[in-house]
Amino acid sequence: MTDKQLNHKINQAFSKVTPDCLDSVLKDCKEEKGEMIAMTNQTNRRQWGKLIAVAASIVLLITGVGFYGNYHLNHTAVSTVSLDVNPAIEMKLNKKERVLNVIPLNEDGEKIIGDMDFKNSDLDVAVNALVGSMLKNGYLSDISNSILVSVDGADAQKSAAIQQELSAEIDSFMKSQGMDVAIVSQIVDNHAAETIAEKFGLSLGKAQFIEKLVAANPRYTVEALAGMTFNELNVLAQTSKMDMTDMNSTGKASQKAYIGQDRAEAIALAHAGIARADVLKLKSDLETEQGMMVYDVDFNTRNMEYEVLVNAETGGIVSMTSEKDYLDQDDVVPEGNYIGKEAAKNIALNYAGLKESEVKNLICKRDNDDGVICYEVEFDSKTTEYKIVVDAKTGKILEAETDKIDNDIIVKPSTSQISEKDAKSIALNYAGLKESEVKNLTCKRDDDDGVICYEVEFDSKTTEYKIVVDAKTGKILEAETDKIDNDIIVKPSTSQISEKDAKSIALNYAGLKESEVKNLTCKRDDDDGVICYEVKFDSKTTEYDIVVDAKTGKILEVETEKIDDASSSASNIGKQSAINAAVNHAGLRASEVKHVKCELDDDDGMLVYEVEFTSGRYEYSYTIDALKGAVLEYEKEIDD
Amino acid sequence: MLFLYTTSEKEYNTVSDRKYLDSCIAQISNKSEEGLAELYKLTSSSVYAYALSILKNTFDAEDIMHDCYINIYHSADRYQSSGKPMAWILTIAKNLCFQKLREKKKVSDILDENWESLLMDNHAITVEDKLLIEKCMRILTDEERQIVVLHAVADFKHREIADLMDLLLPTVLSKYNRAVKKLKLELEKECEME
Repeated sequence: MTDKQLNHKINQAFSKVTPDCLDSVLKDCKEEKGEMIAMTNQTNRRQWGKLIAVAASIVLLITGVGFYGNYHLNHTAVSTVSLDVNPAIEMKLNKKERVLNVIPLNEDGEKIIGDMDFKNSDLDVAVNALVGSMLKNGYLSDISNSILVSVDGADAQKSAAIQQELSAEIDSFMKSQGMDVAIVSQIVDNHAAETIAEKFGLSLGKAQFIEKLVAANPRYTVEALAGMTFNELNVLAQTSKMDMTDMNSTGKASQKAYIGQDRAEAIALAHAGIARADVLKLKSDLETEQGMMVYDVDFNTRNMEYEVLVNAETGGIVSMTSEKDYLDQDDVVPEGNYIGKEAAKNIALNYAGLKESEVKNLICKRDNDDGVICYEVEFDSKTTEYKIVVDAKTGKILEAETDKIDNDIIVKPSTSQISEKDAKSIALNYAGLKESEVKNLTCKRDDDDGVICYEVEFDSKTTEYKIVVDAKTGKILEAETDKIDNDIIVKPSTSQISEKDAKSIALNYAGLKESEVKNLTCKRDDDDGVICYEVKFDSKTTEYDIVVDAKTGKILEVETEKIDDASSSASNIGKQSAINAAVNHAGLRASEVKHVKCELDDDDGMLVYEVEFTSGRYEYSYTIDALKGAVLEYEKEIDD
Repeated sequence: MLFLYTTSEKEYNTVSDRKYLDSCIAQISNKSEEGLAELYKLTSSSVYAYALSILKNTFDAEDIMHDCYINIYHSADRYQSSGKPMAWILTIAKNLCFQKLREKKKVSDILDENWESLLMDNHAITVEDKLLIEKCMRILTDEERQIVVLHAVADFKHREIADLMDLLLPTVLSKYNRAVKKLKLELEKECEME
């Protein structure tokens, strides 16, 4: 195991153990605004450990100021009912179906709840109040009349009962208000949808519903649907004939906000400049495109195929595509010896094992391949682009090409491995970098326990990457990254770092720049077979002696020594001057003193000269400032 | 506003990350809850791990982590952007930890942490993780453990560790190397026994 790997493991382990107390932090911040908190009071909170944690999670507070609870803590009440219209609201119920609390899941939800307090209310009463509030605030109306009721609870029977009861209750309430409502109720059983719910800030119920919609329509993505109102989702579900068998759906989702199919078709034709009479095929569907509700109007003339997207609310043109398409009779009915486009399409789809509903961008063109008349059929599944050539006479597959829709990596169906070049591309892609942005790019074929793979390594400005790509599938098997320490130069392909590098590494370690040191030397050395560089330099106060491993650039040894000012005598007055100062001070002349001693000493960091001498019967002892020459201390004693 | 609950291995020692943290702290000085939440998201595992490495007690560590962020919330306006936001944050944490240690000396209720049970609740923890944390707690000296955690979890450079812990740089380096050696040895032993 490398240091890098160990660090990574430690990081992961501690990160996973870290509890999430953000909620209580935010709560406490508000309560104690302006005051510093006394430490001791807080400890009581945790002394009961797990017990408190469980109790705390049940008592979730509504703070009412734009802040929503941690999702995972919420699953402790007996049942949860969530309502989605535009506003999303969650209600926790206890065993007796009384409301424990009501939590807004978005801003609109907050508005709806307003000041209402639902603690311990009867479920029906609470729901009525909430739905009424939605009506009042305009979230439920003639043009947007769908509501999603999701029930989540351990007891399946009870959940089903709640589901029915609520649907009936909402229905009768709305009728009493003179409105037709479309209610979809479901039991929440797809807890895998939690990730989506969290990512987009949705209720689990809405997330589950969206997942179902996306599963039924390969064209749709979760991203696009997440921001839509439930009415829009319900419209899509109803027009796309999504499988709603495990849900209870009543009423019709209001399309009154939309211009209607007829009008959309008329707009589409007008935009394309085609008269109704010239149109051979025409159909339109309500769909979503780029987060908008649109009518997808498809029609053909004799020579062209059109697809026009019309904004369902405004009637504006979103896009138009047209293609040459010789929609002759041979499209549907085989012409002479040719099988016809429909047949070719079906053959191609069959070959790919897909149904027409599972693909998009389906086109079929008649072509002439060196005298052989054929049909070129192209379509995309969720993951792959297909291009299939069908012989127009025999219906045989002449050519088939597939292309993974994933950053242009080509999976060749016939060969069994990807190339080195591909492996590099895959790895670079994964890191989100271009070949021009990295250095030291290497790619080696390897055998990892029988799995052939490519080991791709490269360095970005800040990080070392090592990525293992499966040679057959092109999948990423492993990815390791290591931050490049600032200014430590990652070694190039030669096996040693240069002298210049070693100097930089050593200086960096000491936190100094070359301009801040003197006597900088660097010598290559051999330390028991380990080639290294001995880098020495002096800062103002310290001598550094640093040994750097020539291969890895790692610091092997560090020695520092405070610089003894005595060795740089330039700054000291010198022994003779010190003696003179002392003798002078004693009022004596040089000829009158004997047994002169002078030593440089360190007096608590300050350099001084200790001077001693005798004269006549007296013994003198002086302490002189080594830099300035001032007399710091002195003693005179009778020499017995 | 949605808060994500992820355990991402975020490295925040590049210059841009430090700037981002600085900006979060600036937001917090304006009493922004979003800023605090963002800061929390990015730094909570470092704070917790560091507190745990000092206190060796999960309840205390969690307490400290909580108080640390309250503290940050109230003193954010006094923070001077020095390009070392993590050092500032962990210094707060360190001081809180030492205060806690002083308090505990008076009240001798040191519960010997049962690492096995504490880590059982969390499904994401693997046996390997538990082992590693236990080793860190048991085998390393206090200083070794703190150094290792600061380096591996908070991504501190040895120089920064030296500053925070008031040690000499070579000391940090040698303690770190020793600690890593110890851990590796222990982990290899565990592997052999399996």
